[in-house]
Amino acid sequence: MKTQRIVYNDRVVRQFVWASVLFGIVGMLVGIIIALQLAFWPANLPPFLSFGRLRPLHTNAVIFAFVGNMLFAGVYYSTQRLVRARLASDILSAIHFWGWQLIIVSAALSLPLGITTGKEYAELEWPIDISIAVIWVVFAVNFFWTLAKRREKHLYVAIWFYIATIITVAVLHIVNSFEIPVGAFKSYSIFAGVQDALVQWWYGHNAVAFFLTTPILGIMYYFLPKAAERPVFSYRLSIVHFWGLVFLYIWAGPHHLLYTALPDWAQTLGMVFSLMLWAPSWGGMLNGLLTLRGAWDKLRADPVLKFLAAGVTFYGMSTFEGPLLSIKSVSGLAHYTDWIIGHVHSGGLGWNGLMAAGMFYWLVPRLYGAKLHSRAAANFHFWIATVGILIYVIAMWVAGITQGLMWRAVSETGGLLYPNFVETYLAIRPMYWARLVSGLLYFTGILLMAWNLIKTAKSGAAVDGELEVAVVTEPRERDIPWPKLLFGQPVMASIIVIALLFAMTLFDGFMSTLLAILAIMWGVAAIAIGIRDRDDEKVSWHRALEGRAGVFTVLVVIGVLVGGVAEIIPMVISVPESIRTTKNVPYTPLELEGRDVFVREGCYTCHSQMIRPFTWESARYGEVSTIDDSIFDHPFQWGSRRIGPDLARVGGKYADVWHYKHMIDPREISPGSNMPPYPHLSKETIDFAGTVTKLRAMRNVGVPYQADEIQTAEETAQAAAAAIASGLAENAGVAVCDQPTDGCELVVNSRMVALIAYLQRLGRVPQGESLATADTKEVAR
Amino acid sequence: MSDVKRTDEIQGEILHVYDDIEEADNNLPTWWLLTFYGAIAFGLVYWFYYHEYAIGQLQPEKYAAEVAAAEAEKSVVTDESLEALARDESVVAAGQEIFMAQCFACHDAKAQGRVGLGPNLTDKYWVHGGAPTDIHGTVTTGVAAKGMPSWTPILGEEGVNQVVAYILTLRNTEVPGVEPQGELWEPGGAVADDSPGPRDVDAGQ
Repeated sequence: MKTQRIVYNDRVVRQFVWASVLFGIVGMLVGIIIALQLAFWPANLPPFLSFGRLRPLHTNAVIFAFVGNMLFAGVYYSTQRLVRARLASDILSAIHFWGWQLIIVSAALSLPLGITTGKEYAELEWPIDISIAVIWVVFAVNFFWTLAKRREKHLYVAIWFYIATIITVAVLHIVNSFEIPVGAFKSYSIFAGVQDALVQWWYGHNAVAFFLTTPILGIMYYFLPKAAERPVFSYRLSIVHFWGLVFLYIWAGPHHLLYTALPDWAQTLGMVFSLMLWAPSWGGMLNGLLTLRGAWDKLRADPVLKFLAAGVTFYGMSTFEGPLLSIKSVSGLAHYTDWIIGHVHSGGLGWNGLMAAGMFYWLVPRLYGAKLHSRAAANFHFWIATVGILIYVIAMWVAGITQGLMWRAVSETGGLLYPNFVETYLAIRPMYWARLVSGLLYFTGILLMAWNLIKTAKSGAAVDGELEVAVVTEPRERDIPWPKLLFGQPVMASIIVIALLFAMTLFDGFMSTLLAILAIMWGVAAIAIGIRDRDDEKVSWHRALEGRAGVFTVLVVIGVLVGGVAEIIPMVISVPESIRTTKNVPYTPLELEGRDVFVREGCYTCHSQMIRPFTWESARYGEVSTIDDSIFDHPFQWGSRRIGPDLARVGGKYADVWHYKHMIDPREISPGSNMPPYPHLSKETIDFAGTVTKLRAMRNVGVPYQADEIQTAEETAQAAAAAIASGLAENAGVAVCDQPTDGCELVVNSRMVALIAYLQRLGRVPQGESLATADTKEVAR
Repeated sequence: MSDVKRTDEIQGEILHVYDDIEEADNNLPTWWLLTFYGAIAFGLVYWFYYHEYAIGQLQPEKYAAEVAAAEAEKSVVTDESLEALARDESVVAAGQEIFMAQCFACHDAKAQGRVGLGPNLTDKYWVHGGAPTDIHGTVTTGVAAKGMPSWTPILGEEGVNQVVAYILTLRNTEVPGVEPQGELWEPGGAVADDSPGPRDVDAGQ
């Protein structure tokens, strides 16, 4: 038999490893800075390094730069070996690597400059969004091309997870980035209010699922059995939990929007699908931990296994906590609090961070043909990282539950026990200091790891993996049994069950009950038949599927799309009607400019705009929010965390002077507050000549601005700004001027004035005439 | 993948091998399957209970019921009842505490007012009337145009009464501060015309 040597492309793996280590350090350093800012406001150095701008930088850096580079390294290293083929194209690999780093650098520059879309974890503006899509496609082509050249007919479970990752992230990123540009660095989401909220959290939740979870599960399936030198526990468990995650995850997005103005049916879907996700998630944990059966003694000495085992355990912990937090009443307490922050960090630091470290400690010695420089240092890293995570998570549990309870506490006199929001912050401030300490511990570990890995690499030299393989002389069989795979029993059974459940929602009463019972019976029968026939067939349906990457991918696409389509399409259909019937009127030109300032400064990172239907919440913030309130919002600004109070109905609650003074020095008005000061806003000017373009863009995304409103936007904005400024001059003696000069306190055309206009509008909807009524009158005439 | 069949003593029969990673095929843990099926069943039951048959009340309905119940429990205050509270030291002390936490931001620590924010509450002049029920009304409903919020939801009925009692003790103490604003009002004077007299305490709607 003729053989040939293949050399793997490990160069790109090494590049991604080092990029991940570098950006891990950067991202976590930013995390430490913002943790300090929350406990100690003077750490805000305005304007570029204030919390509102750094927080998106932290999340983007750790998710897309640290974990992103780590997962590319893991995917490329393991895929080549699992399919026994070198990466298809060295050029695409290089474009992928350098393109991704360029995106990271542009993110690091644009976010502190306030260039942001204002959508969490998708803050990057449209030119960067396009680059991300292009580079992701490069990754996809490189990956699937490699699969096409594979020498291993069947795909191992790790590859399934990589396929799901590549497909789903592409869909999520592209749909959530539908936006209309306004100039080179600004865009408006095409989705309105509640629509935007749903799409954003469909994206946000599944970015966690398909960027931070599925690729890492694939990596676990490769590196954990490698490091443990033990067989994977169960093939059939991997099938069930893989398809469970692929199908169920997509539906769970609305659990980020429980008790908001999102329609109740969507909230319920978010909650029940999150609960159903618990078992498939634990399937991954079980398959990881049970693979260690017979290797637990190795954990004592081997830091790699320690990291991987603890990482998988934290995965189990956070995927239990996730469904728990998705239960509506638990969310009522935990939402907007630090409990959520603790939850994401038990996933981020525990699952992603420890898995990354475990993979690096295993990989770098092999990529450089050397022994790990210091096993003791790696073990030490493990312990301080674990202790750090535990302190972090416990501090956030305490902070979150304490603050959640304080928000809802009612006094004997029938009012709120803690009516001053700042009291609830001061009560948990010690926990913020504890969090800072835990972050420093974890960060020290990462620095130690970087040093250890560099030392290791220096003690060896870069080596690329090689493999002797048989030369395939016969052309590979290309016929794909499409009908058998696509219309096989498992697919048909799933389609029928899903169709029955969909039909169930269209009918009421008896009919829907009947359909649900039919769905259950069909599902049970299909499972029973599957179990009965399990050993009959020589090659099982799924085994055949594993040999056909194309069909496999098609099924993943279908599985992933069902949930998104089911939730997003009804919202796309219903919102235009809401726009027609709403009595809300679009923002005035100045308010719109103020809204852009709100987005630019990242106010949404600390302030929600969504009052939930609880008496203690409406007592504090005003009437419960409705879909109408945010129907013209592109993007929506419902927020996800209340480090400060909700602003949905702050309009008219305080005088302009209050806002002015509060923004200049928050602590003069609200002693103890940790809000960064924004005095610079009163000197930064807005050119109202550009406001016309913004209104036009808003009209393009469906906001009903009239032609004359758009034409006169500049004058209208100017007049409104002058009115607010002169009011401030009269009532509080603020030195107002047209241009920033010495002795001037407030410029008329400033961001400050626009922001005040926007804040004073929030929740105070001028009752206009709905488009529907106007149309009726038109017809009557 | 090699064709060598091996049986691992712990994991059992090895089904597949990829890049030296062996894959066994153990049964799914029963308790795990039960949690999975249980969650699916729960989801269906929940959907039917709250949506198909609407047996359970979702939060918006529960909220509406709570608001209606609170609406039914309103109490009435009079000039006399408020003056009586102003003579009760413990009530006044509680009111002062509220004042220092809430009203201080706009009316300053001694109620002397802040320019552009809140008027002086220690002089004889009142923008919205100086009779106890006038002050009570101003605190209850707020003056949205001037940036004063409605305080009932935040303080509760009793809290509003306490802080009004405290303010009544400040009248005519003449702390230097913001210049007098509004109309002169002497103790025993009439209730302001634009105020509806003894009023209902509601949630400031």
